[in-house]
Amino acid sequence: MTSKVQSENNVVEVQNLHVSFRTYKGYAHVLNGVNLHVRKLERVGIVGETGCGKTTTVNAIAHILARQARIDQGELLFQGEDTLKMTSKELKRLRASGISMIFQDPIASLNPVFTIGSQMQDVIRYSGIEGAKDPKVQKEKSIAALMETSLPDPERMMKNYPFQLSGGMRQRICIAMALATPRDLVIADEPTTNLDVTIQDQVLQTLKQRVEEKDSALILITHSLGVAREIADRIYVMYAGNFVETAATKELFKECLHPYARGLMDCIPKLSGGGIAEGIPGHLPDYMNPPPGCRFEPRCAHAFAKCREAMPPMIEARPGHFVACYLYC
Amino acid sequence: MQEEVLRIENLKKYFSVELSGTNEQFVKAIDGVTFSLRRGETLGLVGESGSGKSTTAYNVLGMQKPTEGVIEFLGQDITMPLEDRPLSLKKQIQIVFQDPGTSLNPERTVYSILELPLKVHKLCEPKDRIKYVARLMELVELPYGYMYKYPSSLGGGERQLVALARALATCPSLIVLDEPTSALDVSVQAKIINTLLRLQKELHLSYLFITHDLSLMRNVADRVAIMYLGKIAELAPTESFFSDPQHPYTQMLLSSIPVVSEEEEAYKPQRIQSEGEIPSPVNVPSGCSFRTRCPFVTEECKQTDPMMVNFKKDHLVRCHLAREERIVL
Amino acid sequence: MEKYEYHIDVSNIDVSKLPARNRADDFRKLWYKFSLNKLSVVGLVIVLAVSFIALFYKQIAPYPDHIGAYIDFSQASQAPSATNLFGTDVVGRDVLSRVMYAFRGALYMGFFAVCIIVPIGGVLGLIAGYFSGRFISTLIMRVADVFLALPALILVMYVSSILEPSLRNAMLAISVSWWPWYTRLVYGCVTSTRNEVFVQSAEVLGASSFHILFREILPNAMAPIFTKMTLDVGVAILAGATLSFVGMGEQPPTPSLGAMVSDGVGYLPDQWWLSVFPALAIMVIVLGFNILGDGIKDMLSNEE
Repeated sequence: MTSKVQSENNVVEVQNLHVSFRTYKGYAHVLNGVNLHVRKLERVGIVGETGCGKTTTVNAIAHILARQARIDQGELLFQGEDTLKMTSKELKRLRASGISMIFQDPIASLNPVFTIGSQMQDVIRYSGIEGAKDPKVQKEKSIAALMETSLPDPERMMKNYPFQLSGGMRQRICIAMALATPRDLVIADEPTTNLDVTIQDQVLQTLKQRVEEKDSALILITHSLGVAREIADRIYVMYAGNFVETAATKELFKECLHPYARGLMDCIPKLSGGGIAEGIPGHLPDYMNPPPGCRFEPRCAHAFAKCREAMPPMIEARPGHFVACYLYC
Repeated sequence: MQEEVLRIENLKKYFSVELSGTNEQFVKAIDGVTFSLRRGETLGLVGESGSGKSTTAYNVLGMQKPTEGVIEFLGQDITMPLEDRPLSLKKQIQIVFQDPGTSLNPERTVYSILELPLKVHKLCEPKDRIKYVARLMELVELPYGYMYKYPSSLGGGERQLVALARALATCPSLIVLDEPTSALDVSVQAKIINTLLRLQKELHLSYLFITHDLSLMRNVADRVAIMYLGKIAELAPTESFFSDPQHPYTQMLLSSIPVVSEEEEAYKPQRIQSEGEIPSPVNVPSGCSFRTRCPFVTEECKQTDPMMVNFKKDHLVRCHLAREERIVL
Repeated sequence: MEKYEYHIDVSNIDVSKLPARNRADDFRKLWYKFSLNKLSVVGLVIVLAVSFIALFYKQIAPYPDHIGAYIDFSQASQAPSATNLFGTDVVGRDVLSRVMYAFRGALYMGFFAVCIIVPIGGVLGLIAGYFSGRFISTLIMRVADVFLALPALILVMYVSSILEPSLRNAMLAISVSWWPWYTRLVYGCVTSTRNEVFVQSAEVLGASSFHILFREILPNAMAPIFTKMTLDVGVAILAGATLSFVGMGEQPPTPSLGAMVSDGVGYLPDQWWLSVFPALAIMVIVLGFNILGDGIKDMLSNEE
């Protein structure tokens, strides 16, 4: 039985999501029954490596999947409403005032030929809040948003073009845009991967602060467990289209249960020295022909026969700490 | 005492930025860098954007011509650009670039990419090339099946392995690694780093390892140099660098790394809140270049650029506040 | 100074385990990318059909001998019917057969114009791009600029008028005015690729300039070159038709699409079939090449 946490308190609920992509050799079955929920005001981290499907998952939630993607099964609820049944008008409203996204590469998210000011004002204009159509209100709110992200001299910033600013500043502007108007959910997809370490620190702190101030929930995607530990209240570890482990942050770092999560933790270089673990042998499975059982089985040192037969269910191995592994069944 | 493979003394590289009128400004990418590298050793260069670490690498390789200073390889002067370097020298120094997406020609197969150095340096008969390519792939643990694949169908880690195999093909003495794993997942990074370390032991390779990831550096380098705006701020053996960081920038950087456990937190110096942006290399602050962000700044720091001081044996710091034992540079 | 030289040891490589090159998979991938847009397949079908008709004219055309000097006034000026699908012209020749034959001239024109322009323009572009900043590059590009500044059609007609009107000279005229487009295209590709990291890698490895130009840079220019080539076949055909419309292309009695349109203009709107069918044929051919060109662009684009 998969763990379903249904309550009116959930901003997002994803149930049994299966997504596949069309390629020249057939269909790639990427997401394989993803279950996720985010409560109001909660900060959730999704940690996983390249190709595991984390971006696909959030793109599905925000309804911006690529053309070749196909939702085979599953439910996507936002604020209790079924988003798969929404009309395009309702979806637009969803994106304008319900969900906002911050992407990895700020250069790509900001239009190079428009000033920061005009881009921020656009965000406000389409948000549907009171006075959104009034340029004065737009300008006011834009400057307020910029000020809240501790950007120096917001008035002058409005007239700048993206190329005049550094990576860290651009990302902070993206954060400002994402939170300029009240949102129920902010999704940040690897927001600091391209930034320097000290700037990364600043940006993450800004993000954490703003999300708290604006009463938004947050989904943070990252491939760095360290970053997730700084920001998230609860973490999902993802592998090859499935969540393999989820727990409150403290719990997860106290004890990693799933062999993959443990392997990942071991691979992280430690400040205390002592070398780096050998890495996890093997490769991601071929999504065209995924194994019928646990997708991590071919690489797992603890695998046994049952692992090949069927996907292990997500069970509560410790209080509040869920794993999808037959070692704990 | 192992022989000195690379010696750099007072290296400077200025780029002129033409401004209208009479005022010609310079971007001081590197402004007086000195270090040396021995056979079988790994020297780590750490820094953020604008620090000049990549520029140093490019000058060593000949991709850029130094403005001033000495670069010696195995005792020979090599300050000339690539076009003027003899083929035998190019054989000895190779580089692995940061972005695996652009360092491999998308229109050529893995086989033809690995074949190129064999062809250029006439390392074997044409009929034997496939054997050599196979052996190179074995060295980096790439399966033979990848031989005729194009880079676009390889993952980032696999591409870096190809880039590494290509660098090894000519049996160089010195390999410059410019952020080789920054774009990769942690488990893939672990594999590549372990491959690098294994090959270093087997083949007595010297590495100039550039990265911004201090935790990684801790586990890879024998000595570490941290650069800020074109100058080395601190240079020390790894142990000493991490247990006893003297320069405020080193401390700032160390304190902002996201780590994964409480024990790790204990290894970090007291948290120094990183403030402000990195100044542009065109407008390097007078006196000590770090003074605009330094929490310990004094009047002297604003006036004079500090000299390199010997804090401990082999541990050099460029800071007015470091306790002097003997002035070195 | 002791030399630590290691050599790659290939003594125990099992040659039987080494893979062979699987070209089939490459083609399958290319076809997939091409056929993602159904319209591209339509374009391919059109081009293949036109080529097929041009090649096997003798076997397919209903009245193969109508292309020459054939006169039969009893059948003249017939509207399209079961026996003459496109009708007959003023001297009794079957329009359909003549249109089919005219495909040959059109395709000949298109392919050969492109076969002349692309190598010449391309090589000049390669040289100009690689030696960018030097005199030879400036010389080539400025000469190209001069040719590009002159209105293409006027230039083509001018050249044609100097030479004797014929199919071959029409091709020459088009080549003379069109080569600079390829020079510019390749120049752009070369200058942008020159700064790519993989080119720097090749330089660091010690590869010669020749190798870098032809084996590293050129393959990356192939995609835009092929795409443009395909589109240009269509445009060359159109240009050829324009030339023969004003009497500077293929000479009578050999049918050419432009000339047929021109001849029939005087008989509009009564004997509409004389102009309309050849014009439609031109349109279909050019459209086919255009859509095919789009497909080729998709096929050669490198996204995974």
